[in-house]
Amino acid sequence: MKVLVEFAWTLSEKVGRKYVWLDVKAEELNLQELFSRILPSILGEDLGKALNELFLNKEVFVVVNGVIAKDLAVKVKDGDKVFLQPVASGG
Amino acid sequence: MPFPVVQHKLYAYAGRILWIDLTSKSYSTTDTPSDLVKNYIGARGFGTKILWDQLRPGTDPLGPDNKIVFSVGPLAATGVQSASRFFVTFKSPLTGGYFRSVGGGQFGAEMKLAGYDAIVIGGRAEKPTYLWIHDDVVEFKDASHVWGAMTTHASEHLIEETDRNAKLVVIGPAGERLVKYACIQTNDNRSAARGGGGAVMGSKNLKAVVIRGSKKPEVFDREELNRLIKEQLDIYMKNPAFEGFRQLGTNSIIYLFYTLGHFPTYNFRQAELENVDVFRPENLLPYVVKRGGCYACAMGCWQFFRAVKGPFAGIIWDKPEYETQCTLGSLIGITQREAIMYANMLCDLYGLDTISTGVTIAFAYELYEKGILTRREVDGLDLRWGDPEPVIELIRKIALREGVGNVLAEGVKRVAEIIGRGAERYAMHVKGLELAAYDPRAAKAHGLNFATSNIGASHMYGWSAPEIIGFPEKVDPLTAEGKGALCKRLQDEMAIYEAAGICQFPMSSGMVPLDLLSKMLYAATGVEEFKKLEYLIALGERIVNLERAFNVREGFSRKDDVLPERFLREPYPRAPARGQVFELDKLLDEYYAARRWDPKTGVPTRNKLEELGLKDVANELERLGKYIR
Repeated sequence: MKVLVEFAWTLSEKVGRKYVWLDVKAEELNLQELFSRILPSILGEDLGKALNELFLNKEVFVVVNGVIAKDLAVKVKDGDKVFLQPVASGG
Repeated sequence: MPFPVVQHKLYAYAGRILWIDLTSKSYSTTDTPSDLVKNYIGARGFGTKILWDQLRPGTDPLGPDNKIVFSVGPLAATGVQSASRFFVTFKSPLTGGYFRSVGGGQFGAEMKLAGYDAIVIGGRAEKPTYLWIHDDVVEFKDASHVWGAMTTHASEHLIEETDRNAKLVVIGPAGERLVKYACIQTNDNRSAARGGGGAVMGSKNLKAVVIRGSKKPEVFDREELNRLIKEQLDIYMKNPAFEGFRQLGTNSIIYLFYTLGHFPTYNFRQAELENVDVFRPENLLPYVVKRGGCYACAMGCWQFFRAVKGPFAGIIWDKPEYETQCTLGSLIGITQREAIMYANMLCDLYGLDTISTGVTIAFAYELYEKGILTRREVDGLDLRWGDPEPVIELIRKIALREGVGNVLAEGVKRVAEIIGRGAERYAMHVKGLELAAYDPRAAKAHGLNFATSNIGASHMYGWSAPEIIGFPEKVDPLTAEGKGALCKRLQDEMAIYEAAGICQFPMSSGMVPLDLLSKMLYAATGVEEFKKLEYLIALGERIVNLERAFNVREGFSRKDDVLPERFLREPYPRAPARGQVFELDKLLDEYYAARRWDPKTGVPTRNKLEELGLKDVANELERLGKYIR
């Protein structure tokens, strides 16, 4: 399956790119696997781990297809778009 | 004489209310009553209660009998963070109902330092006037020489001839010409923007209020308050949203909110925007050349943008906020950031609310596209989506009421009535107030807040953080169930914080938890009741109910708690809210049930009002025949 992961703002600076296409041999995976296994394998162990910690500390929004993910059990499947941005507010 | 009650010593409060009559050029002061403090805290609470007491139903919003109330909370100028906002309360020329507008900067704190919890202004000056208030002295000064001047130019003159360190609120040419959505500007570029407060000042021939104070509020327990302020700062520093606010303010969430289904486009008709990437935070950050903040606020969410290229190059101005990037940008299909910056600056200079201005112009663009307005009727302008040039021209025309601008200056509701020909279908407002930059179909409690808010479609009346950013708990934004109760809770909470004079930004991100606010209020004022959270929650509800009663007295009812037809009939076109419409009746029923208001009329029941200590209000509604037997 193919999943688009977008990084915004300071995350894109840290990651060094604005997005990455994931090509994973699976029908679906959850965010836990995405953060702990898939992203570290592409972006490097340290960066993957850092993203995971940011999410656990609620310092980053993880938006799956326009919906804020409430926990790491949220599923991601083929064609999905995952958007990551440091927490912000206002309006 | 208002509020004749026995006085007790008030800590943290200035302890006085200033009453000004522009007609007779006279003024008086009264002590701030203890019962007003206990029942309404201050700021928005004071404004609401004073307006209810002072206005008779049917008062002309632009007549001398309307009052404009400037008020601050007890925490202003005490060192508490983000607590010195000023509130402006008046009967709105745009909605015909109760209105409260909020501004930041330094003016609120200066009011307190000059010794006033509220300044109530009525009457109409014979000629252009400004008020020069320095501590106990109030002077009625001729403003003829700055009448017609833009806000910045007028500010510069008035500061020069009074006191270099004075703070002021001022109106621009739009307010003088009674543009229905003219705003009130401060001399540090903040706005109490919404609802037409600038027009109310203009109708009174009041160009500005300049203020300077030298008093310091005495607090009940300074040591404890200082400890709590340190705790507040600690929470700020640890909050993940804090740095975002400092770096980019509300511009940090534009692209995110677009992803979540907000940041509407093309007069709320669409949800897609080509080239939306220009609003990603990393693409906006390079525009920042300077930062700043309001009085005693560590967040400092002001950023100044510099435009260096294209036809709008050469400006450094306060950035367009999230709302403005939408209303003067995406709602008209514009993604040229420099053009939006320029349009935003013009609105500030002329003294126009950027939200209402943008929504009104987007409305004109859609009418033009549909052939409801012809090119001749829009003074020969070619209103093509995405073209910013006509926007710039229309802002000027609106502010000066020239040509088609004279009609557009009335706001979309009235414009639709004037034009007819089916134009009302495209007029995006609630109760006459143009919609803020959210789609009600993509967050139902937030949409319900738009529909039921006593000031019309304001995002600031009950911002639905649980739906929009999933804080403090995540709530599915698309379901209707439970949203009546959620909307009520959010509106009541907002009323508590605004009665204390606290800014919405740190509040809605959890930086000022209610128990901390309660402790700070007690440490500052010594009012025992403020220690109890349930007391504060009831107090917030009291304010919302009194605001509703004001509107009921003016003839508002369930029929006014509506949303534009577009949201009720047209399915939302893209993920994440694809196919959603707004289930108005169901949501309203749930909301009225949560509020214990009459479901048929939307009027607060006698039982509810009495429970909140508003028996006299219930009696008045009864006397006016507002309760159907």
